[in-house]
Amino acid sequence: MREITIGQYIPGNSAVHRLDPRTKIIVTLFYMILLFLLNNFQGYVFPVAFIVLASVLSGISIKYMLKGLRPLIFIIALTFILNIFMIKGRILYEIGPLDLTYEGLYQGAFMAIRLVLLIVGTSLLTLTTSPISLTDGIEKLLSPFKKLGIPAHELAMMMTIALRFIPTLLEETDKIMKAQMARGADFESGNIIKRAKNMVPLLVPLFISAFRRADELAMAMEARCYRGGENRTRMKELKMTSLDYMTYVIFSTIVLGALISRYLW
Amino acid sequence: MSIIVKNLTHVYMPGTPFESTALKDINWKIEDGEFWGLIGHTGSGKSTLIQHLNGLLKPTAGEIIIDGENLHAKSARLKEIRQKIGLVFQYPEHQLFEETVEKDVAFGPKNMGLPEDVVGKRVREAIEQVGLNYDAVKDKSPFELSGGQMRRVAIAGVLAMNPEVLILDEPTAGLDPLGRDEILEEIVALRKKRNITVILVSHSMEDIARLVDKIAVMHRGKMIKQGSSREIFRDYKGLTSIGLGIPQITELMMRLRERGKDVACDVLTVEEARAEILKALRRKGSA
Repeated sequence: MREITIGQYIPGNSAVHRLDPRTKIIVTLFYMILLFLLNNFQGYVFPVAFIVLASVLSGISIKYMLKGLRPLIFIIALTFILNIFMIKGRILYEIGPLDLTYEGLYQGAFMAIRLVLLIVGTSLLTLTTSPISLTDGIEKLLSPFKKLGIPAHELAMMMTIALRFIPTLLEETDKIMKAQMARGADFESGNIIKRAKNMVPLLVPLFISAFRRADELAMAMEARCYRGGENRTRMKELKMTSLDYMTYVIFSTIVLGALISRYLW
Repeated sequence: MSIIVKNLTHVYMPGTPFESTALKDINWKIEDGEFWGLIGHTGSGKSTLIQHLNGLLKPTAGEIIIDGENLHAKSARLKEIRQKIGLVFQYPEHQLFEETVEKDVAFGPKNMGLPEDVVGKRVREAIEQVGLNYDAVKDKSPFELSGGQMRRVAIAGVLAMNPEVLILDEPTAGLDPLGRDEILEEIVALRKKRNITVILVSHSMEDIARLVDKIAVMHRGKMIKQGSSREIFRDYKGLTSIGLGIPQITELMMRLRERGKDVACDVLTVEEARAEILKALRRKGSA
């Protein structure tokens, strides 16, 4: 379970780490849109350049970012294979009723690369932003929509708490699993029904402890007079700095370049 | 049952920025019937070490040999070894899950594939061994019990497997003084009755001094010392420099000695100290 790197945060103090979370969220959002606007292979130069730049600046190796792909390899492979066979065009090879086409191969590779870039680029956001500042950023970005009845603060608080408890629950799962294994429990063998049954000794204690924690947390928050977002000030005010403006300039250049390349190449 | 730990090293999350070495080159030999205390600061690697002893964690390097059998050979029968080496985790009451106390304690022996009647007998024995009234608690939900009783039920769940080695990770953490003493007494009684090997992880130097014969000291992933309790507690400076202490009574005797009183300072219990002080007073009186 510790192998999953999606959503993980790597503490650091690089330029990317120090950016305002709002900047990073906005840039990530436009980066995703950009990926879908590109229509040829050459265009990928721009997002790749962006990732390489971010990797150099943040000190997080591209190799580490690619690790996040591991759980999604299946989806990427499926996309690739579906595209290869589903698209009509010049036939390269025939396997039974399936036609391998030149266009399919092109489109399949194109889609697979898009997915890889999508995952790697977005994982940059969570790799360089602590969960707390990430939710702070989301809260600030959502706050204009408060008038429409969107409870920005409450949403952000729920996200913070959920994110905060992921590692705790993982640790707890690990511990209970080991404790039951020490009593001879078997979580690995048997068919699906048997396996599901075998999970009971893990799930019951896990749920009980999750509820206990929720209860304690609610109590602790009330004891410290928490009563929602109204009039609440914060210790760390978000502030855009020259670093953020520079990021916008650099990123806009990349986006512009990519958009122009659509027509030139 | 003898356990030999050879050059054991464990690295958590190798190859990531979170890589950390939890254990460094540990060598440890536990003979049949010994009573060990394992002490060390929080995060010194005690829990990681004991999880290796029954194969819950795999060493990054080094090996663990149990009765001549390498624990991490492909042929090792982990299930059998886990039954022989009972491990009681910290706050074991958090692992309870069944509807009744009886069923929960039966979980271990049932997993071993024992016949019903043997399981029933073992469950009764185990519950009585931890000082609970079998008939009174067997049909109760474990979640109705008090914290101390829950802990006993959880310990009984391990005892019901009749382990030959019992490892307890801070079995008294968070209990009141009475509950603490009772659990420790039950462990001592159990050890006498079944003649099992016990490894006790604890932060209470008093408990350690009173109960165990031998002590292993962990510091930053290394086992920096092992020996008889008397030897270990003689090194007051060494222990305090790594954030540990010595029993209060031992410290008292050391201070007396520092003030020039003629007393031995490797005492471990109040009774020994009393005898030692009386001896010193008599010598003074006769001189």
